[in-house]
Amino acid sequence: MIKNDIKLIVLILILVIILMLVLFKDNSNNEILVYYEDKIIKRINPNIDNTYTVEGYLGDVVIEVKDKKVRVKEETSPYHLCSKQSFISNSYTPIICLPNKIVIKFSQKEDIDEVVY
Amino acid sequence: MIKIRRRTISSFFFTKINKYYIIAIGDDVKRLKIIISFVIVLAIIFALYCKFSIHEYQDSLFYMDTYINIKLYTNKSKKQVDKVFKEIDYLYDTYHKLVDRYNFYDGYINVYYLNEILKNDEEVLIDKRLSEIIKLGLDYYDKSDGLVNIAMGNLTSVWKNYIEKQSGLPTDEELEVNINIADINLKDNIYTKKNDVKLDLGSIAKGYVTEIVGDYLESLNINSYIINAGGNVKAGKAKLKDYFVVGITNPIKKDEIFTKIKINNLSVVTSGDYQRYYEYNGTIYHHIINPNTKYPENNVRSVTVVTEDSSYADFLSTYLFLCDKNKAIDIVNNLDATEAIIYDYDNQILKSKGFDYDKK
Repeated sequence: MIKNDIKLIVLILILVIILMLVLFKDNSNNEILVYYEDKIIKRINPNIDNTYTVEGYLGDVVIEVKDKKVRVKEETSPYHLCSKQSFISNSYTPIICLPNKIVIKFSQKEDIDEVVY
Repeated sequence: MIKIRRRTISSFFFTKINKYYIIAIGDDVKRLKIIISFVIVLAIIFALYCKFSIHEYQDSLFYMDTYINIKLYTNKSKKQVDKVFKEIDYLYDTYHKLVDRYNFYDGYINVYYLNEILKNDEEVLIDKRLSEIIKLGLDYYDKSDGLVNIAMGNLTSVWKNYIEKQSGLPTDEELEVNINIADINLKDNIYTKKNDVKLDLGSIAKGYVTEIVGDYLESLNINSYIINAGGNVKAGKAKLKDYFVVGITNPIKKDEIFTKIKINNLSVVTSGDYQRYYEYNGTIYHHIINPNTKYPENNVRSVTVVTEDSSYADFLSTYLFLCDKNKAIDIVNNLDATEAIIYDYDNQILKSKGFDYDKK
């Protein structure tokens, strides 16, 4: 019966490892996350060049992905600060459309916690 | 009835019948007891894990013309943390309304009221919280030889219009506006003004409120946090790792950083010419105005201050930005527990004597 104990323990260990892999899966595929206030409203694959439209506080926000970079192409706001910000390619500085309450950033965390600007 | 001998752990769960193992769901009371106690022990371990493990919680807010990102590292439950975030939202919201120059809010005597509605020489009792910020602003005016001036509202409005238009330059006549801080009078929370002087608390308010939020978190024993209020970073003590790492934006390539610093229990604030600006005839015109020349100051590209108090860091980064770069380094070298790093027009990086946060 000792053999069975070993089998049981091995079985439990395998289950635990599978569970950990599922739970703590390293989300290594980089995505572009679009937030409205603090909720994710869109996930975009940066490897596919395309344009997307999301609804902001003041109107539609058109997001363009090109060569693994992302920018806001068009939006309704008084001074168009976020479309002037142009393309970003990493998570250091997000694109922030204040009047539209839209934030666009890459999901992959760099080795830093925050950036001052 | 099959008689089962139980001398091992697995035999409590599995039974061998004719070569096949089956899960033993017997009517055996002893077996049931063992299974139940096993489950209880697991549940206790899980509960303890939840109780003592540190979780990251995050919230974002839009106030004071900026995007505010707050991260907390604590063993508190989601329910408790949601209450904390609600209180932080309330703090930013209240101060946002008090220092707002462009909107009036019911029930708030705010900066808009003092600038646009209050008449010259008329007295008004203001909120103690607003009064504290104005007092601090008057103190910073003295500390900076008048370079950080909260009475510059008339002047910053002129430049704000040009930054929004993204072209042209104000005429000397347009710049001939009153920025005399002596026209502001504050005594026992009673505010009076003269000659239509206007307040602009933009250079200190974000840092001030962020400091208050930090104090609030510490008072709840949440001492591991990092707040980024539009580039004003305040960090507590890092948990799960040795330091919080903060990147400083490269002024000439804004989606990159030029250095990384490692901090605990410190604030980091940058003043730069690359956030709100426009270029006209080859010169950068931005939002940090020198009250002496009435023009945006082009000494350096950015100044980053590292010190404990976020409000002081906010003030100091503006002050140093308006100083000659060598004088700025001198000033910091004579201050306790305060360091600075400057990015100048020749892409050179200057550091104060004790600046070693990028080395650790």
